[in-house]
Amino acid sequence: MSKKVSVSAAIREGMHEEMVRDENVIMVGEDLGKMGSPFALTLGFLDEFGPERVVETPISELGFTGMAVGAAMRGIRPVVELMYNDFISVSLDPVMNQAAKLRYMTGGQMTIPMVIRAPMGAGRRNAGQHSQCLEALFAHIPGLKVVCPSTAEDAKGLIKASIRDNDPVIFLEHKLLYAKKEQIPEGEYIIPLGEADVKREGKDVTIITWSRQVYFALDAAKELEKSGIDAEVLDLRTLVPLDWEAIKKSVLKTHNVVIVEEGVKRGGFGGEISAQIMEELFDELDSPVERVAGLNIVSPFSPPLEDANFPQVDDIVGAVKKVLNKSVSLV
Amino acid sequence: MAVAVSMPQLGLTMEEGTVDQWLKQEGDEIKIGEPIVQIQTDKLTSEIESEVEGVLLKIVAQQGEDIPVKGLLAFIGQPGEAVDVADGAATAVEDANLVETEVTAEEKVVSLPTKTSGRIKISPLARKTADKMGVDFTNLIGTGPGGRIIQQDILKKAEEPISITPTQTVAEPVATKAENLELMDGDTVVKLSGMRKTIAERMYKSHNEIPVVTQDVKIDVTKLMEFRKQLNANRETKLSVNDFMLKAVAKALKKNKNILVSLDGDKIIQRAHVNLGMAVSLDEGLVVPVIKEADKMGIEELSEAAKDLALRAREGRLNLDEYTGSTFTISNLGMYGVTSFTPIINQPNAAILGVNTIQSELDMDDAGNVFKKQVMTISLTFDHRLLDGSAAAVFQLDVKKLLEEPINIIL
Repeated sequence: MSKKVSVSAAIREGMHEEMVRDENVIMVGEDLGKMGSPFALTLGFLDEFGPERVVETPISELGFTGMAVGAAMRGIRPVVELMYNDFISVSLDPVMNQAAKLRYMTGGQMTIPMVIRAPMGAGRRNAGQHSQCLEALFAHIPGLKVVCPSTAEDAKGLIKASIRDNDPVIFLEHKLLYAKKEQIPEGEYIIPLGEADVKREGKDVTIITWSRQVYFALDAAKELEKSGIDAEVLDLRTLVPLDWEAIKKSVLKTHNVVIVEEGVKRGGFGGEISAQIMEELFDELDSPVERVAGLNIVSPFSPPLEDANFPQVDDIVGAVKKVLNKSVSLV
Repeated sequence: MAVAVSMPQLGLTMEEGTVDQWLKQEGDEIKIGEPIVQIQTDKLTSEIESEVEGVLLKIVAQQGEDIPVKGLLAFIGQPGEAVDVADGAATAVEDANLVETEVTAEEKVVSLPTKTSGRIKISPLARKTADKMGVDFTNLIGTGPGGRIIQQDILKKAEEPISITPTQTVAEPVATKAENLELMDGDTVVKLSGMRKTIAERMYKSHNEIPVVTQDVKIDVTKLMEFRKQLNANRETKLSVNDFMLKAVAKALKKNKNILVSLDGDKIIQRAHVNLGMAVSLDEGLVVPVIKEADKMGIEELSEAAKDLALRAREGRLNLDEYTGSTFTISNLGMYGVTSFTPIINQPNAAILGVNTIQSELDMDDAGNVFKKQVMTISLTFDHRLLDGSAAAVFQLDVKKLLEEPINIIL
């Protein structure tokens, strides 16, 4: 049995189930109460669970993130919402220097079972300060887990796993996926962190990606089919911990890799995957690993410029053809 | 997106191919794997299959045209798509990096295979595969981006029976120079066919490169003829003298492996297999299909293989791998009454055996009785760079011994 829900409803459902299951789970963030969060993820939570468990905060990311870290140290499982992942810059200390490190610094005497949910991504005409993909920044910090779901089914299963995880998890939700309606299974289910998912099987090339670019990659694979190219689309779902076995398995099959990410190419997480493949699977490669990513610029406000900034289907098709030495479109 | 179809390189020595026949016309729909054009090359006719799906937008190379390897043949794309070939002519691609055949403003021809000088560009996977399979990639032309050798190139190469690539012939002296000869009354002029041209080039090259010696040895085949008669008495398909010759030569070669060598620069390659090339004459020329591992076959199997290859050679139905990979060649002109000749070595073999006609001769025994016997001469041409007269003679003598005591041929 399955039902059709939006990605945001799927995440909401997952959080709701966890709120019901465990009274230590609380929601923390701006506009979570009456408004039910800007993307309606906590709609109705205030009425059902009360203000002690749905904590509406002032516009002070540093303050409420730090508060949540403290609560987590005492055994509460806070789910913090940053209105945009871009706002992490004001609350980095509690996240990267406290939450990420306390389990280590205390010799395992305490854990930080908190989740920071943060909408990410471009394409919504939100300009430079509200359109970033910052997964590479989070992934760089040891002690943080990083989750970037694409589908409604994955989003629900992964938010539940994130809430139950005893370490801090950065849960990045793409803003333009919230409204996407998809089938998800009925009832409770969990998708463990660190398990990638083959969204499309293929034998000629592996397209490794995550979040919204999974859909672009699937469209590209459909397009490539017309040229007789059979592309595999591997959705990482979780960047940390990384499902290396899934990557390896696919590369051993296709021997050609294109990595697609929406974020800025320079220092992007795609570079990290590319390097690992080069280090571990050099002899399996039939071509250099190719990256398709955002330009090294501030995300533009102008719609045509914004769309040109992050990878589109044609870019992925072109990259695959380049790797396989098929005819390439120059436009 | 329009994709350029170019002349493939079907053999290592192939430099150009002739467009024999278009199997699809402009406007025809094309599926992946569907033959679109027939190409006449080296010594065979080959159908070229499409690697893409679409519509045959434009035929650039017309029937009968000689197109160099990598030269443009046609474009495949979507219906109605504009294709604009720069000068309408299929021109050779000198340097793949400079290929910019104008298709549409949006299209560019993929980087075509090219032989690059200096460091060999090969993917890690292709290198590993080559090491594992023992494939020599030094002379391979890669089909990856920028001419990089990719795994597919290695696998393709591994399927070829020859494990050696003769040095790539770049701008060899032309075998057939235009002299603008004066025509005499009644003369007609025909363009050299692809096959004739290949024969001319190969013969010219072999003749110019190899210092040869031809040695004739006379063999008493009286017993052989009697033996054959007995064997054939109860057989539906008769064994020919040539079948006995093939078997005897294969056997002798197995013993005299020193004949099975190839010269490659400063290296001698010892061939592992007795692969007998067998010259078959056709109306338009000559092909040399190869009986692989002939030494492992019985005479009947050998006879069947020879018949099958000759038949299919005459019908032009040989596959590429059936006329490559010889390690020794036999040319039989016996049926034409030829008594001795000097065959030209089929490179990269080190020797070729000419088989002549059977003649009757009178001889005298020790008691002074005159009797009749049947004899045949075998003419062995060998590469004196690799072999000396005595080694060649020992081999010939082994063939002679086998044929004179024919029971040993089949034992």
